[in-house]
Amino acid sequence: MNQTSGPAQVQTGFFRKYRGLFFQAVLLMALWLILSGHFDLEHIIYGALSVLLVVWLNTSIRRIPLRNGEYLTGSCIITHRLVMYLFWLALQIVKSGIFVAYLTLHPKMPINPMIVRFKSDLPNPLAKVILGNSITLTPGTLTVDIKGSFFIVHALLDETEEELVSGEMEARVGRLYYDHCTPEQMCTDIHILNDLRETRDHIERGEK
Amino acid sequence: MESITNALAIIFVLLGSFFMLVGSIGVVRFPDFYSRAHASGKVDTLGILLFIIGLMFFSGLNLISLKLLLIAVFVAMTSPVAAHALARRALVFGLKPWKKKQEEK
Amino acid sequence: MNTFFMIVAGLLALVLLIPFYRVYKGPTVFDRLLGAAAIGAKTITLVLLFGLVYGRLDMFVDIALGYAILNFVGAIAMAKYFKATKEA
Repeated sequence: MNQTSGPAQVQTGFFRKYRGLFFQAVLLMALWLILSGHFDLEHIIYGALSVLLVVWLNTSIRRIPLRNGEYLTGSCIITHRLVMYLFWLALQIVKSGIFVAYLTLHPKMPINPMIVRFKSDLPNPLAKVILGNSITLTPGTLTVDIKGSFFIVHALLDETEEELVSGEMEARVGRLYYDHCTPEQMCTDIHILNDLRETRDHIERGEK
Repeated sequence: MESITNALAIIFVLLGSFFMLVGSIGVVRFPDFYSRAHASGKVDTLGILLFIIGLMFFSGLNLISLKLLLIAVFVAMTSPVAAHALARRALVFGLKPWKKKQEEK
Repeated sequence: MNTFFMIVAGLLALVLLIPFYRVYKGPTVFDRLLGAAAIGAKTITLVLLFGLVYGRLDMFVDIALGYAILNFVGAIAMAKYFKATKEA
């Protein structure tokens, strides 16, 4: 546990190895029970069979590359931090809703939109999706594109942009996967894109 | 007990309706597409979540509440994705972001 | 309680008209799509309210869930479609 950065160690125990499949099966079973609404033995057996079929089909997702050639594999997510993160995210949803509602109802509408690009090294595509979705749900920021490790974000105000590039949230997402990481590591290469052409170049060319 | 949950339901439903109203106003009032996506992606999401929480209080602890929770989780996960997909396509298409006029000195 | 939900449903139906202005007027096609997505999101709650008023919330919850999924898939499909055409 002394390492400062780098992915969390991959445990090789039986439960650790098949943890993802296990959670997937539990979630699908809960979905089946909620949607069917019958709790007798016959329906539960049908549900279990369908869940097994879906989990078996889903194992092949990890063997097929995504469109940019990456694979959907990576280091294990740290479960108890994920739960805390979800609570924090719910709080952020409420805060951002109130914030944007305040901006909407303000008579002068004091917004100063800008597009900012930064780099955040995350271990796998799923972590990038989590970060992108969280950026959209936090006050005044909207993920426009993700290319490689670069995030292109539309921010409504100067303050929200500063809060974003302080790297606080990126470090939170990073801590889901890494034992330890600091805001400075997770948010580098910050660049405010002034020109539309510049922005489109960034999107079409991808990483420099 | 009944009256308390009903009062909570009314409060949350009214709050949710208020935020949905503000989200609609934002969709009309903001100056460009990207800031409108902010209004639709955040304020509307919060409004729908509060509204569904209010309905959960009203219906009590049963299967319907679980299904309502499912809808809430689904909306909270997908509405940012939809806003992101549209904003990304608009940027690739070449829609200019609105800029505040700089004061001439 | 029932009359309260009726009143809220009526108000929400009025609120639905506000983004419709954006759908009608919107300078670009993306504004129109955004307005349509906003209308769809509010329709979910309207469907739930109808379920409450008719006393069949168990059935209307499933309809609302299906509507939420359709709304999301519709927005994603539109975004993909405009990638293919490149003009709008």
